[in-house]
Amino acid sequence: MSSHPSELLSAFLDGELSAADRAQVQAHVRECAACARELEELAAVDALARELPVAAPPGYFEELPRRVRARVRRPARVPRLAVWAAAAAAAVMAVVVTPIMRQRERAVVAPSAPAMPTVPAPAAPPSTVPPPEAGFADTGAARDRVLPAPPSRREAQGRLLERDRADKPAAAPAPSALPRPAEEALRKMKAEDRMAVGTATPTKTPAETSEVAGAPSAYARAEPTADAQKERAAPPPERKLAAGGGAFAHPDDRALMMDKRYQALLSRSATSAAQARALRDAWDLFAREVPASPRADEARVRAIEVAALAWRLGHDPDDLAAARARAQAYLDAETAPQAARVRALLESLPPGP
Amino acid sequence: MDVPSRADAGRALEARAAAGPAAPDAAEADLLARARDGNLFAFDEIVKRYQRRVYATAVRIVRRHDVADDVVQEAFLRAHQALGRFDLSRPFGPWICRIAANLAVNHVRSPQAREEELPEAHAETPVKGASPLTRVLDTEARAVLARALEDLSAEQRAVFALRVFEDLSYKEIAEALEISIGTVMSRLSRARERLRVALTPYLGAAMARRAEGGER
Repeated sequence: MSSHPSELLSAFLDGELSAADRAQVQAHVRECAACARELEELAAVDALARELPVAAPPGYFEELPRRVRARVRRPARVPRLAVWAAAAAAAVMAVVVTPIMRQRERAVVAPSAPAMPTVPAPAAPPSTVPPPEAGFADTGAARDRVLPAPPSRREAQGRLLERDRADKPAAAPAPSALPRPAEEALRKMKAEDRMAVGTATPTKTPAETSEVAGAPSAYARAEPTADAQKERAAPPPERKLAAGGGAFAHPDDRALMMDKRYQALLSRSATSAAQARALRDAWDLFAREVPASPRADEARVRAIEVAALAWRLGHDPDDLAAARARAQAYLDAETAPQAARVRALLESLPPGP
Repeated sequence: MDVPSRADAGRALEARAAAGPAAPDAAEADLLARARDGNLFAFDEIVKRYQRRVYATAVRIVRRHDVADDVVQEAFLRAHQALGRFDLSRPFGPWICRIAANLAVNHVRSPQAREEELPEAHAETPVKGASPLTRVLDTEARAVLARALEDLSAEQRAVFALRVFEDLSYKEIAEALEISIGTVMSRLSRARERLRVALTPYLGAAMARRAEGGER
């Protein structure tokens, strides 16, 4: 082989060439230092790639089995999944599975490593009394909301404000209807959230990252909504909304909504494990959406408390693990203003595995 | 010169397979059988065993946690629904990973995915051990590699992930992604070449470390 067989080196590395091609490449590489080096470099690329950590948010793998279980229990949700998912899965199922000789757990999962920043999903307005197992039930509903093509920003804003109005008409009028100067006092309260929105970029300090990522968006999407059915018909653009509050034409709109959510969350209580989980996820999401706000710290602590409550109400070890993971993540963060409160709570829980 | 080749390892594995096929362990087959009969606890155990691996496959292709989470859940759900058709004598891991890879690629191809912004590249995790200089170089190399992986097309990433992380053969990758073996070969070759070019400044150190590891 006179010319360099560059395009064959990759397959050579994998042992996927025909005997003839393999012999040719081998012969060439013995003579050609450049190709020999290239081959070594290709192998080094693979080796480096295998060392790349895969980081999931803290507590993610403690929660995932429960969430999968919830979806398996509810097959009725399945047909509403996205077309891409259905088509893809059908294609794979049709494939004849060839036995694989090498099977190993190669994925290096480093839960303690800073998680990849994610774009959070915004919460639906919290309902006062979540339905039983709402945390489960809504996983499917929320998922469906994600999948259709996102509406325009203006549509999104309108829809969200509509939902707000429907949920709590007396708490605060919709921002678009507010005479803004008259809301000065309320706005002062919101200033912190506005700042948080402005600074919520994917790049965070390690402390922020560990805390922020501690509430993966998927949990957030499990937040219960009383009007899940209604929303299915008119899906809000989950991810778009959350991207730094980009769906809001005016920062005040977002600040108002965050304030209403905060107040609504404070007023919520949980009398079952499912309700506690849902509330925990809602606090997680809130903390993540306004990470720089002082309220986020309170939200994080409340998420831990209600996570412990979920365990006390249901005695599900997954809930205990979730509570411990959140508490530990809080205490491990660079700033933990309420460390004493969290430590006391952690000590009140039975020892972890 | 002695060229490092995965082919040698492949042949060794073939020999091992001829001596006695690597069947999935009996406990796993039992779990799968019970899960197939509707035992949710058994399926829970399967999820716990494979969730990290499936997540890793998904996130390496879609590069976003929230989307990977969707893919993982969907993959387990699909696997659960298809357990009745699954041959229990076969290993579950590669199968579920292929489902996840296929879902991931299809998601990335979807119009919705095109509107989503990718997150920043991987957070840098300092490399433990080795000399300080090596650590810095490796940490940098990882960041460069993470970015280079993001610059690949989803199709290239999927082929690369299934080959390099899941050790699937070209035939298996072709089946999983419904493409020809020739396409697998060319996509993989282009993907590796792009990664190699991006990483060239760092590969010397990485190769030296590999060589040291090999001598040990």
